Amino acid sequence: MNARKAGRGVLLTGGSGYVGGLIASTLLIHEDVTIVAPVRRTVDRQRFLEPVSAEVRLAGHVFDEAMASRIHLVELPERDRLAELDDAVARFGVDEIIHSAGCLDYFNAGALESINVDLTRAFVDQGRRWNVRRFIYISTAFSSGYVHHEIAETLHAAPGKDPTDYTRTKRVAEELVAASGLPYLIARPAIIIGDSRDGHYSGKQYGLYQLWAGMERLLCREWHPEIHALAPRQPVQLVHQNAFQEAFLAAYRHLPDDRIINIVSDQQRLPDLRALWDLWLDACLRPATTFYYERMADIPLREINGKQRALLALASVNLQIAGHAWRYETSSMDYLRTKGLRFTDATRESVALCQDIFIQESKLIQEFLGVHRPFFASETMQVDVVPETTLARPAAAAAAAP
Amino acid sequence: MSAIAYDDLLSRNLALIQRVCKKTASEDSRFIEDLELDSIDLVGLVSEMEEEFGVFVPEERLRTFQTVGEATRCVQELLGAGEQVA
Repeated sequence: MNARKAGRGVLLTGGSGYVGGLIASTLLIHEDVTIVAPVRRTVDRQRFLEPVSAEVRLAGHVFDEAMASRIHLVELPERDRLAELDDAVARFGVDEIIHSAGCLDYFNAGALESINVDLTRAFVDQGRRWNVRRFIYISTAFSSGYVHHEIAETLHAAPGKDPTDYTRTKRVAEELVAASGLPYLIARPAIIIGDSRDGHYSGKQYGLYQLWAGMERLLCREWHPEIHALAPRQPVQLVHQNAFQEAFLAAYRHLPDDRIINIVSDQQRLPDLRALWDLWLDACLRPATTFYYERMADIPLREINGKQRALLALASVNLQIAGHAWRYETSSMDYLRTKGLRFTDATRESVALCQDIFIQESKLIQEFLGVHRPFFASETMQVDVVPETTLARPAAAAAAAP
Repeated sequence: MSAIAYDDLLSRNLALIQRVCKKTASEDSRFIEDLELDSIDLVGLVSEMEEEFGVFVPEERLRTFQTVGEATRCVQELLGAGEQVA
């Protein structure tokens, strides 16, 4: 068989991951390409195809043999031996790299450096050797670190303080790609959540889903009369997975070389962190009182319920990232809309749909609701705790509530 | 304040892990690699340790231990420092 007949070749790293799988299904549906996917030895073809084929079907398309035959798995060599991919690159006519592989383990500095920086450098080097026509890098909307200005669709000139090494290493990788001499596209998606149409989600428990999973497993054991929530009124930058796919495809097709795109929802339509807490609490706990805090430092951690403290420890980095005032340039998205991009912004209602699916699919939550719903408060008193206020003065705090 | 016997704390910690996680552990067991706990399991277990030993484990300390022995040493230090829940 002449491999080129199936379309030109795209080398996709991270294809067995969540974002890589979304990209793979998008390309299979909409582009005449053959995907060459380097994967670890532990990833077999069945495991790779399952989520990709599911996304294709959920998008209303048929995943048949012909489509499956356009995916070629090859074993991912050691980082210093990527030249072993030469044969596959030549055989399938690879002329583009989409580098989606990445490490999300915030506290594993070695893995973050090795995967996000060193592996990117290695693929950039190979991309030059293979003379690819474009290198596409999947970064993150948070690669700037904490900055207080609008995040431009350029390399970050003056990086701020990083929440974790994750954002730092993604920023370094962006710089490597941009300095490679290869034509490039850098996509910076915000936190990806489930599909806006039916709420399904095919990723791991990262981002908002980490918070929900933590609430499920740590809080849904007993009814909590009081909840202490880190919940500043900052819009949380969420992007539905189908919106990400649409934006990626539009950028892939229409953006000129050497561009960076912030793939973000309309800031005005996003729910804020407090709304996300309220959505959950209304559905799953209905405490008598909810104390809302602007900063983690304001929460009297020693005095609150141990499982709530555990939840805050689990999600502290993500909650603090979510609580920052992120603002984005959206020139590329605006341009792509003129080219026909239909991008569904995340809103309180669309996030609620995703949460509903999460709750429906959780046996633990369903059992919890069955037993504890009778204890739910008919009304929840909402208390905005101002800095310096502690639980030693709950009456004063409550009195300050609207 | 007299030092709290490490061996006693370790025994109680191992029993706690057996009860909470349904896992048989040893001093050298690594929470993630050997006991196969995920991050939610781990913070939940630490909250049980806090209750069991009457200590408060600050978030930054959470990231400093990987084994049951290291967690036990952390508890021992906190007890020695009088770091207890009010």
